[in-house]
Order: sequence, then structure tokens, then C-alpha cells
Amino acid sequence: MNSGGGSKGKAANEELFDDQAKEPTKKLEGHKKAVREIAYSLSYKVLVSVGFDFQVFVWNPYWEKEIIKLDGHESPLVGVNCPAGFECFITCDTKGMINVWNIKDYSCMQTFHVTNVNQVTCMRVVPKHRRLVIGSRVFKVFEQKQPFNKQTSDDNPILCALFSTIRFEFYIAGERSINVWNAKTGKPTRCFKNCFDSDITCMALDKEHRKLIVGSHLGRIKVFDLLSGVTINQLDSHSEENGEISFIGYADEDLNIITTAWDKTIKIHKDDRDEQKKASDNVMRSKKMCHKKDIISGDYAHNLGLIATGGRDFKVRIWEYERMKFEDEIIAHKDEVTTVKFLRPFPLLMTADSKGVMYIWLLANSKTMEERKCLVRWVNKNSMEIDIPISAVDSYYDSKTD
Amino acid sequence: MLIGDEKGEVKIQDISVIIKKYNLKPIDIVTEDNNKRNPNRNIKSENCMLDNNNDDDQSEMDQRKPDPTPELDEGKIKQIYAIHQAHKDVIKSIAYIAATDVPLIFTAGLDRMAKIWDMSNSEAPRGIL
Repeated sequence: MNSGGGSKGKAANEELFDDQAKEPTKKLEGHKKAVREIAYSLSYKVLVSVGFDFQVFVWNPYWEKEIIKLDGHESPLVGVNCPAGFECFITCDTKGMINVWNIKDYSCMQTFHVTNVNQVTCMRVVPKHRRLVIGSRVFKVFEQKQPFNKQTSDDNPILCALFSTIRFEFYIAGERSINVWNAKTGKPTRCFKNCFDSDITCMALDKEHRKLIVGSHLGRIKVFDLLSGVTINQLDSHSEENGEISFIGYADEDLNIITTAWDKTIKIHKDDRDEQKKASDNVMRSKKMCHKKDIISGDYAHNLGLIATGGRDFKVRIWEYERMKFEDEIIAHKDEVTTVKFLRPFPLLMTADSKGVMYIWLLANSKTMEERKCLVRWVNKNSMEIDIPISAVDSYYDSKTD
Repeated sequence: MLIGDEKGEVKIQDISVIIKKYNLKPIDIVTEDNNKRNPNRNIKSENCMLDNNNDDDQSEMDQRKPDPTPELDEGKIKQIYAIHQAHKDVIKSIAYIAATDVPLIFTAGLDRMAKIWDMSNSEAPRGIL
């Protein structure tokens, strides 16, 4: 069986030839632009084609209509390979984005970028050595490592993790990569490899849980599409020298993103992408020098319209989200404030420092003119009565059972 | 309220006492006074002036302030559940999952582990990712 791809300018389609016949036995039409490469999987009997349009087509060669069109690339594709003996096919585009797809259910298993290349021109898989060769002006060779150390959940220390109640998935960030786990099966489903040039420090989901907003140690913030792993947007960065992102919040229906960082700045970005605009134009409001020292913790309560920040200067400050106005200051801690957390849906704020001291505050109410109250203070101790700092907090309120 | 600490312990505290005592109601300004709200204000970036008197005496003064007196005794807040040695290192993330039949607790830490716990067995996790 031979196969030929339509050339540029012509209607892009694929024709399947029989060796004996001069006429094509089947025409597979679907591509809007020229086809660049096709690959056939002997074991799974599917044909995969890629071309100048950004979609990947999977065909059953015995049937005229495609099985599925796969989105996930953002530039023209240069190649596709179905390595024998692997349950996947690999696609690559000119910008160096590589997707690994599951050949059984056509889900995207892994996405990664070829760094420091201008234009990728070709891609080949060497199944025997588990290698992937990328050609541009230079050759780049990737090698498949043993995907996971079976003893641990992640290859790297987990710096932050999220759970999506809508998608039923866990997002676990270890150093520079994010692994997506299916909560129903308990298995890893996707992986966004090396999406940052420094450690990931913080993550947040948007309201519909379609996007993941990720902040890094060097102050960069990116928005990822959760399904494909594509970088949708890059937000205005915080300072590179000392701007580790300490908190990201999402103001649900306002489509705003709140970030705080070690550079003492709070920024509110519009979750919006416009090619014409610079990332800094999307910053609607920001405030510098919010603390005397680094902001190392933060939280945002959408129901209260308040942002809380905790600093290395032992102080907790509360800001109004709409006007970025200073609201209140809590001076009680005698060490760095490592955690601030609104206990939703109430006007309660929990704060904790690196000595293990915790407070719960009832926040001031402007309507009833009530002042802020300190409700409770306690120290986190272990069984040996030694104070232990608090590193993670969550709260849950069941409105039915109170 | 769920708490994870740097030694890998998880504790759950019941804070419903506070909610009952102060008769707290859930607040949601987004749905309450919608007409006044304008979350898309563009405000020029400015420096916060709070720390302008930049002498260190100020902060020392702050330090000398007496501790705020809590209105409730810490004994009132009951610890309802604890997992000792959930992780071997700092717990970086904790989440309470209520969407399942049995409520679950998800923890992840610097020891490269992500675990799921339920409230019936604090000795062993229900699952390890």
C-alpha cells in the first residue's frame, strides 16, 4: 500500500493506492491545508495525519470519515510517528511543542517543549532506544526515562497540589513539571513537563476548572489549558530577583487573577489575552510595598471581596479587592506569618506563623461597625510538646449539617 | 478546619463552636449588593505608604504591644481527628474532598508523596498516588 499527501495549494487529502490499481481506492478528505506527514500503526490499524492546519487527524483506512480530530497544537505540524511496540503516537509542531497521545483513547498523555529552537523541521522516533530526535538547525535528542519512581508519587518534592471537584483530578507540581492524576482510577493521566524555568511555587484553578494558573520561583505566571497543556497566556511577571509568587487567587465570575509575591507587590490581572496588548496592560490594579518585608502568604475571599497578606515582617494586612485599599492590620504574631486563610463562607481569618502560633479572627464589619476580634489563639505542638510550624491549611463548611 | 504541619502531621479542628457562639452567617457580597460592585476598576499602581516612617523603632514598638486577648479558650476548639506521621516531611498541600461518598482528605508533601485518607483509619492512607 502506498500513500500520498496532497501538496500545497491543492485540496489537501489523502489517497490510498492499491499496488495493482492506478486509481486510488479511497480518499480521506478532511485536512483544510496541505498534509505534511502520515503514519500508520500496524498493531492498532489506524492512520494518523498531520499538516499545515493545526489539527491531528486519526483515520480508519477502511472508512472515509476520520475517527477523531485532535486539538492541542498551536502552529503548523511537522511530523507524526507511531512507534512500534508503544501504545502511543507522537506529534510535533514548528514551534517545538510535542504531544504524546494515547493510541487507544486518543487522550493527550504528555506535552513538552523543545527549548531554544527557532523552527522545528522534522521529528523521528527511535523506538529501540526509546529516543526522540528533533531536527531544526541543530539536532535535539530526547530520551524516555523510566516514567515514575514507583515508590513515590512524584519524582520531585511536591511543592503544591490541587484537587478539582469538577474534573475529579489532582494536579501535583514537583519542581518544574505538573502531573495530572485521575482521582477515579488513581492513575496519572497527563504530564506537563518543564513548563517553567524555575520551581513552581503556587497554582490556582479558574471557575470552570478549564485553566490552571501557575506561578514560579522567578515571579513568572502562566495560564495553561488543562486538557491540552498549552500555555494560553503569560501574565505580567513579578520581580525576577526576589519575586517568588506566594499566592494566586481567582475571582470567579470577574475573570480576574490576584497574585502576591515576595517583591511586596499585589497585582490584579485580567484573565484575558490580546495579541496587541502587553502583559502589563492586563494588570488592572496593583500595589507596591504592601509590607515592609516579603509577602510570603496570601489568600483571597471572593465572598468578602478581601485579600489578606502575611509577611516576613510578622504582620498580616487586609486589603479591599475592588479598590486595593488598605483595610486592616493585625499585629500579633512574633514570627514570619506563613499562613493566612479565610474560613469561607464566614468573615473569619486564620493566621499562623513559623513558630506554630495560630489565631482565628472575626473580621471587622463596616455595616454593623463591629471591630475586629481575636477569637482564639493556640499553638501547634507535637506529642513531645514542641512547637511545630503549620505549613498547609484547608477549611470546609457543610451548609446542610452546620 | 484542616491543618498540616512541617512534621507531617494532620489535624482537624472543629470550629463550629465559633460559628454558633457568634451566630455567624455565610456572607457573599457578590450576590448581595451587585449593583455597587465594579471589579474591573483600573487603578494606577501606587506605593503603599504604610511603612514610610522607616525607622526600626516603629517595628520594635509593635513588638512590645501586648498580646491580643482571645475571647475563647483554646480548649473550646476540639480536635476531632489527627493523623500522626502522615508524611515524612513538610506537608505542602491539604484539601478536604466532600464530593465523594465518604469525605476524604488529600495531602501532598515534600517527601514526594501524595496520599488520600479517610476519617476511619488514621494509621494507613486509603490510597497513595
